[in-house]
Amino acid sequence: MDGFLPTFTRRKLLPPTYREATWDKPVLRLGEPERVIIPLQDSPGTSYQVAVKEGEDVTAGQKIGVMGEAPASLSVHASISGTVEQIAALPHPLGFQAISLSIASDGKHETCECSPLKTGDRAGNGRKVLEGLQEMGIPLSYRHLMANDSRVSCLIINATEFEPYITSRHVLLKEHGNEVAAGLQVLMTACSVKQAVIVVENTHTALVEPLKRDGQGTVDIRVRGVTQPYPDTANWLLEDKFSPLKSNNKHGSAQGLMMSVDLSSLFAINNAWVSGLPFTEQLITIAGSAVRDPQNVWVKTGTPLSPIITHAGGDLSRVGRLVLGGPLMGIPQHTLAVPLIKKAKGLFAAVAFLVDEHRESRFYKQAPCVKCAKCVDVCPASLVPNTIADFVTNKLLNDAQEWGVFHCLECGLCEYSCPSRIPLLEIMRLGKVLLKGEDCLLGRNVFGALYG
Amino acid sequence: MENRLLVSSPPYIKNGETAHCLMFDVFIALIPVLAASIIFFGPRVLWNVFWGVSAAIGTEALIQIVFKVPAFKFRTFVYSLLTNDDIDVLDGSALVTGMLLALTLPPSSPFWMPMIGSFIAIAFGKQVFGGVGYNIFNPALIGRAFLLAAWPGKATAWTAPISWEAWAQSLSLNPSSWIVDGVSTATPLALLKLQNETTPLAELLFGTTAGSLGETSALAILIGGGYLLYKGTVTWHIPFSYIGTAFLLSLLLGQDPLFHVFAGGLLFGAFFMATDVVTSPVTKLGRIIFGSGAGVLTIVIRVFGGFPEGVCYSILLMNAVTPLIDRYTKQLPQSAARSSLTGESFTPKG
Repeated sequence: MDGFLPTFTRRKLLPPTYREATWDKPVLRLGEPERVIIPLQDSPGTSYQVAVKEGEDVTAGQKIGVMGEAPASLSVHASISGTVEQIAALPHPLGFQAISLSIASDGKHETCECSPLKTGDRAGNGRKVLEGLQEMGIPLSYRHLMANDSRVSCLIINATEFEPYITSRHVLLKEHGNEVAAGLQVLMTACSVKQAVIVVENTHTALVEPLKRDGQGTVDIRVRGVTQPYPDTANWLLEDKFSPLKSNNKHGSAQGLMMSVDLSSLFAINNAWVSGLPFTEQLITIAGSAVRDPQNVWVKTGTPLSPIITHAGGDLSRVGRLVLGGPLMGIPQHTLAVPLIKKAKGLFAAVAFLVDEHRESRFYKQAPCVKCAKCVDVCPASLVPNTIADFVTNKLLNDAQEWGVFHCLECGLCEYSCPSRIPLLEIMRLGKVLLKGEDCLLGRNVFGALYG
Repeated sequence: MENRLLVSSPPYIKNGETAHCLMFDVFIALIPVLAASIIFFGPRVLWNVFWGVSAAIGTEALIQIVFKVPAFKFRTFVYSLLTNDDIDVLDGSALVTGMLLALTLPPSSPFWMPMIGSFIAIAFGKQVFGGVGYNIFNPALIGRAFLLAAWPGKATAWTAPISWEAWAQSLSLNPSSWIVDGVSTATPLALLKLQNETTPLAELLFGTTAGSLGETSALAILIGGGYLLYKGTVTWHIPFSYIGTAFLLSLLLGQDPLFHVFAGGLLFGAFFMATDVVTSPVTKLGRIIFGSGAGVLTIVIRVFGGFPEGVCYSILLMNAVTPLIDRYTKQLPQSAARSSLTGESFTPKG
């Protein structure tokens, strides 16, 4: 009856951040899991190569395969030392069966020898550095970077945290700001980019100070404060709003390409540059009502989700809903056996109750749209979600495209604020899928290591 | 056994608001208006509002039960009202429509006028189009326009505020003495139009003038409107552009702008009628165009037209062009030509 009785509660269009629970906690490191599952595929049908055989012993950091095809390929590394148990199609967090390697730990923590990228003949050659980063398994838009006529001339770094509960990005900046800044310098030198734009909330500008300070005058790093965080899928929106390239050429295509980079990738680039460590460990936030102790934790890539939940004090039998990512844009999981993938920055585990459809309160049923325009007011892409949803449900797909269904960032704010409880995001995604197939879903692609 | 996980589309959090919330917000915002009108026009207000609201809810219940309950029987009337999930009589929209309609009528109107008006408003203003969310015109204004056309004399029989002393003296056990009529008089706008006589601003602000039940006290309307703005049920776009345009245009035409803003139903229309969520545009620019258009039409009707008051018709006319406004004010970012926005596949296939 919460939404029914007339109250004086003022409901916000934007969700609270809920960051107090994890923001100040010490960052721990999850112990080595018994088994890791490392997918070799990013989406159904991606090509892959396996470099090891079943039964072979591997060490942590050893290259075990390649994902994708050159030039946009990415090496895959074992994150623990142990034995390759099987190479088979296993469930992937993005909802398909991916060819994956399952590695059982031997508990020896052996690491392979690694050579820092900054030594040897790579140092002066940008292309060789990029190839080295590919070898280290760091997800970047290699498709653009490795193209012969690479026009990437500006990097854009989204340092805002859109998802409630998730703080891993800000905590990474807080704890390892200098490393991230060094990684940015390496990347900008390697692909000879002179400009970078960092988008950050006005309340957190202090966090990106190290990134700005190391500019040294040779490159142009701008920090743009925003009041409202942007979702990870907002690449085109950020380009539109913050591109320094636009002033060069007012109409027509911009002079160069803007490429968005993850903060976790920058941190990994610094690791690879200084000590030659491949991307095998990542910082994630584990939060939600099913865990007793929400926190930020360093986790080996490929760890199944169940040990992470147990580590945060969660009872596996009570988890009713498991979401990779945050509660607004995350990917729902149907099993606890899926592994953690590289682009995931959080895990949202909630206790959920399966409610019989006939026992639901009639006030929480989906009602006809009353055109209250709350979705229009809240949409970061300035779309009209209610009208687009109307078009999609009535199968007027061309109209939906004309009204900008592909501008949708799939951020979920429209559905969050909808008083009529219309599943707006689901309908918008349905429209995209009906028009162009599943490959165009931004919210899912942003989790792919080869996306860009 | 592995536990079962719930899989559904994101997002997984909601802000908990429902459509009922929006309707009851309007109801709460109408309470100061209702209180002011009881103070000025006596207990008769409650009598009229009661009949308006009951007729609205009754009509809605009847139509929904007849059309939505399969194998309808009169015996199951109350039972189906309480159990059928498709019947949304209690969502507050009929309550608000009936109340708004009763508040737009003169104090001396007989009790059957809000009843008939509510019936027309719900049946022909809302349910004909498919129920809540699908109506084109503001139902309460449809009802009022019907009454104005059918009983022009009764729908414009304005009375002055009653005297509570006289009411207390004439009080007896006979129920007919509880409800008294005020002295017949003209509204400030009619006075201006017919006799070129202006009313002091303080009276308009406080509400001690003749007029419809809800529209006289500007102060009460502003309190209610402030609540709606605070709750976010309405945004500033429509009321402010409506009032602002009316102010500027009357200034331009050499009229007294403050008089035009505070006299008549402009404030009531701007905060409670034009902001009806179903019949107003959804885009921000569209809302401003809607408000400005209604403001222009109101002043044009008041100054050049045959009626002294033009709020009702101006909002109804702008309701008619709402879908058109929505269509031409949608904004798409300029980068629509980019490949990423036409849904091209992002994932490199091997």
